[in-house]
Amino acid sequence: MKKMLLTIISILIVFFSSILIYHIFSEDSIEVNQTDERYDTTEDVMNEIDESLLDEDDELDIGEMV
Amino acid sequence: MKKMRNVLVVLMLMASIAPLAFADEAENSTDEIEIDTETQKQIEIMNTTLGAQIRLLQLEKTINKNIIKGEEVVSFLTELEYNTTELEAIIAELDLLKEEVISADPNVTDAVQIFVDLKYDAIYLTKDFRETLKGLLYNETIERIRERIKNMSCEQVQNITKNIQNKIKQFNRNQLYIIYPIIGENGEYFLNKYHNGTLSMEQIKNNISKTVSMMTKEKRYDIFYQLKQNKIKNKIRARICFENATENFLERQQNRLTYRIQKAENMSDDPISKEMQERIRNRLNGYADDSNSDNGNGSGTSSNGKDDSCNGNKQQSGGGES
Repeated sequence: MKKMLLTIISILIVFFSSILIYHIFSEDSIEVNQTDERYDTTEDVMNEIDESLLDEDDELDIGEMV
Repeated sequence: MKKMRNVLVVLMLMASIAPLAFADEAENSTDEIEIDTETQKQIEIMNTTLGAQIRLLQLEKTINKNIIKGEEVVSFLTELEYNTTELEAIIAELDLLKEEVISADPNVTDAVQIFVDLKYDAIYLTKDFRETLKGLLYNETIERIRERIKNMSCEQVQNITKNIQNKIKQFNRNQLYIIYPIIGENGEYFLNKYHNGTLSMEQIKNNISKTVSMMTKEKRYDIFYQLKQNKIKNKIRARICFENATENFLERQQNRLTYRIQKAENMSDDPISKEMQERIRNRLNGYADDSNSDNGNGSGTSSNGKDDSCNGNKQQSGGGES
């Protein structure tokens, strides 16, 4: 009985650890892939610059009265 | 044996609690609002006084435009002999709101909080006007009014528009003062031309694009990394301000409404003012009922919790002003 419980606990630990490791690994690899694809283009640098600037005709939207 | 069972129970409990650890905190507070992504993006520039000025001016302009359109709707309905007291009361409150926006100080540390509060009030009142109108008229009449006000040129808004454009130009110039050193260029010549109006932002961007495209892959990566880093820093600052703005939202709203009632009481004794007071009182009572039914948690807390981190980052109009 004792042995069985120990086995269950070990299985649970292994199960949760593998889920956690898989999750962290998959997130990292997605991020790395995205960065790899991005950084070598001028366009991405320009997008970053674009995002830090404001359009002179920029307006707020609070909805229409009618 | 018993010990083993306890360990097993603890493990199971931990496994069930784990998702909560990743969940967003403070979801149970009733005194907070969900700020839309557009507003979240808008407050990102408000860590500088100039950015805060731009957002407050833009809000003033939009409210102004809606007041003018609302007045046009009222005059149209008066011609048709409709009772417009309710609509006029909403416009009167929008007017009070506009005054609050004008008197808001962009230098103060809680400018983001003020902006979010007043913007949400403006959205509420605009929607209120639209729905009141829907209750008064048939769809065809509403369509006629929509056509009538669609191409209205609001001369009163022209001055604010020019002011906003100048400030945006200044803001962009400050941003480019930060960007040029990152790409290893002295942008003084181009920035002066942009300031004089002899070079447009598009031309400046084309010039930067040409320079960057001639660089090595490693250099481009380095620039991208630094720009990203700056952006993340700004986002973190904005996030802190944004979290402060969501806290105690209802409490602040109740204070504002109480203040507006007092103002309306001092204004005049006409039916519009009375209608406005009644509408605000109804909203206040509605909030009171809501907070009672939610056991009122959160309303007694102070908003000072995280203010310091938000305040500490207030800068004076960026570093590039010459």
